[in-house]
Amino acid sequence: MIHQSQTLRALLPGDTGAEGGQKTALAEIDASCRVPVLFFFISGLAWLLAGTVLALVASIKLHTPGFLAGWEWLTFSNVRTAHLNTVIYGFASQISVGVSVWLMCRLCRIPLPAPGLVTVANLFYNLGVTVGVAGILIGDSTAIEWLEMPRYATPILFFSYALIAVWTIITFRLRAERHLYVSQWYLLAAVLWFPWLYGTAQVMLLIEPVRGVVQAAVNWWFAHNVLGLWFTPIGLASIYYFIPKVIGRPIHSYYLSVLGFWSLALFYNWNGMHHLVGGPLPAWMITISIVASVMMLIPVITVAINHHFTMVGHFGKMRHSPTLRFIVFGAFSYTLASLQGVASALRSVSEVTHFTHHTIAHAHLGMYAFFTMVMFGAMYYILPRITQREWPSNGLISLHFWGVALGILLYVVPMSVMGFIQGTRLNDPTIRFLDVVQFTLPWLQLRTLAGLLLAAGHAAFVVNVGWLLVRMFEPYRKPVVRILTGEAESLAAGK
Amino acid sequence: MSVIAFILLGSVVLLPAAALWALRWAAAAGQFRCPDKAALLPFDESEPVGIETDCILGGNRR
Amino acid sequence: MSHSKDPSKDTSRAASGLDRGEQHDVTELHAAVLREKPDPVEGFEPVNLWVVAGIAGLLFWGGAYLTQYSGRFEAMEFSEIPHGKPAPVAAVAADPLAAVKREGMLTYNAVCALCHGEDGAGKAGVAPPLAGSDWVNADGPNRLMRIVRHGLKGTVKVNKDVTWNPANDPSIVMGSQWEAIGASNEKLAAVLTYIRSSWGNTGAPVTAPMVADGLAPVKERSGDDNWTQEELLKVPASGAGAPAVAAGPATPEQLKAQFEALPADQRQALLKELSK
Repeated sequence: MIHQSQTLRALLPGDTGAEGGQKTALAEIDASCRVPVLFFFISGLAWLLAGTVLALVASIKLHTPGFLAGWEWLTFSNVRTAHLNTVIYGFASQISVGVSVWLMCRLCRIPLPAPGLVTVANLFYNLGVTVGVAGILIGDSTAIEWLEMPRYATPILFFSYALIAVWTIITFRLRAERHLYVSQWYLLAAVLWFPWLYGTAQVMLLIEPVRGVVQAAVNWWFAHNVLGLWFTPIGLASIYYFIPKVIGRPIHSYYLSVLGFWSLALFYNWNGMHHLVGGPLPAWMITISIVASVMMLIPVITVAINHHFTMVGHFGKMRHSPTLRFIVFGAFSYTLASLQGVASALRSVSEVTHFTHHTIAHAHLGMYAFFTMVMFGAMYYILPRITQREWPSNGLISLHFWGVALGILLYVVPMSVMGFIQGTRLNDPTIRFLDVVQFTLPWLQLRTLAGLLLAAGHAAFVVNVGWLLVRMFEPYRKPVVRILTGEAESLAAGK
Repeated sequence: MSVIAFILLGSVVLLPAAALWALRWAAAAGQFRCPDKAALLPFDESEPVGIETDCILGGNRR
Repeated sequence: MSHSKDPSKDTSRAASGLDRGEQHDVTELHAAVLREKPDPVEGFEPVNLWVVAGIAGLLFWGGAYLTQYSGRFEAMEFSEIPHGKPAPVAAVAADPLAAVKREGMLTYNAVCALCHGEDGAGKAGVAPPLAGSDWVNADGPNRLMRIVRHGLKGTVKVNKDVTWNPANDPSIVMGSQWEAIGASNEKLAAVLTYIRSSWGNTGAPVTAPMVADGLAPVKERSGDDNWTQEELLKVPASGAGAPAVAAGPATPEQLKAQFEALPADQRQALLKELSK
């Protein structure tokens, strides 16, 4: 308790000690982020709920085709597409922006400049996603994977991305800390890469479409690089910040982190066409993509070594910190997802697994077990600080973690195995196609079960966040559950 | 020239140029010079190395 | 700090976490920022040499793979086979007809199986069975190839005792499948070979020249002009001026033409057989 009181004293008016100044600086930065970041988090979570419902509907339809069959705007193709677009553009991208805005301010050590810019970007962004998803459901999809949103939605989104990029550059220019942390490298690169990816793909596929097979190459390049050059850098930036921050220990090797960043920048952009193994593309294009996929082992292994050796001896802290739990789960999944990706880029493996549920399991391992888990972890850290309220419920945090952790395991592991078996059977001409379809049914039912677990976790999180927000607007009173003060403090002090 | 040509040329010329410029800027600005300092950037005097900052759960489990 | 007592001596204040003049909310507001404890500083590890070696190994593999599979960076090179290796020749199976049967099965499953079923059992009220059918197991394929080529309508008796479409319903009709199977004698021969050798059927294999000869008399017939049972039964099941490959002595020219009409993999299998 001594320690706590001393620090608190520094916060008293009239105290100008260096420590107190620093504390208030952090609190000031957090407070300045409150409105814009909350906007992104709240709307992102609303889209998460929508995306979860759509995912469940799509999952049920795969094993029970009669489900909601009377609603023509809820056909499988519409629902599945709407699910993808709500979770990618509505949920994941918005949480990414919220997290990266906060991280940028913290690492540049300045209160959020031009908050209006970020808020306007958020409003336009949600307008764009709403228009886009509604367009998909009424049948206006462009039928190009990851770019299904109809043309009238994309300029709004592009404008919003551009605002975010401009804001990031402004913040970067205004920074008070000259030296860059590795997270800032990733964030800066991601906010500039994404508008470039999105703009290029829009022009080459929708505005002035290139011919035939080139479209396939561009489409896979875009779809794969959204993961690699937008979500992955933001996820890694968060891991690089939060692991050291939570356990209070600098990253194992800064050299490795620099190597990891630049090798990702060098190799990832070549990826994508390895999904077209056996397709009518010149052999060298596919080969280059395969080689680049395998070269991704370099950033992946450096990042894995770095995170692991930072965590060594501190794994016990995952019991106390929800942020650390989610982030470490995500960091581990990043390694797994990347290794699985490298393996399935190889020709001999791709021939078996590509057009099966294995690919879908892989996508969820990357987007959910890695990226979404990291974003949950980041939100557990950021939300109490920007709202200046404690998490209301311990139990809901545990429910959230175990729901989504078990849910995604139950999703990815069986689906990977099933996809592999499915692929070998599809390639065997003596097995009838219908038999292969029949074989997948129980596994697909298992997937719906996994989806329900995920949904339960999401519901727990959203309730907790909603509760936190209600508290933010209430006049402050002592939390019902005292989770942060006294006891936690003495725990941290090792008593 | 079509829009495509502009985009392709832009991508082929401008992107590597931008990457090289960023690398050169980083080297010139000393971003690679003291990695030990860079690794300490998430920390400051109020939350220095050695301080655990997210100890929420398990406090009542002791 | 004169306004606050030493907190370590003031147990009541320490317990509540408060200093004098301080409100509860300040404690609670900043609690999240305040969780901290001192600890020794870590070192900064240089990059492990094994990691560097691993990266070098990966780059070497990448170069080697690129050299092997790049198709010499030709724009029109689509082959994903390493340079210098001959294209893999389909292994000659113990059954010389395996390749034909496989091709026939793919076509059958894509086209015919919709009505006749992947197991050849047919579908009540839609299509008669092919498995164990006297039409299928007939001496020759002449009637079968006509059905696929031009379609079949009206009542059909299968195995002498089962009557299909007894009411002669004009809406139950099999149209010409010629275009659907790929409009070639080879495809038709493959499908018939598959049908005649599957599900317990015992018909002899069918070759493309047999199909060409068998259909020669009805070359001009329109695909919309479906056959009826009566018409078909007038056609001899086999023969019809169409000698099978092994039906007797043939001129070298005829043999050559027959050989060239065979699918490529069959030709290879035959050559291999002869060179033994």
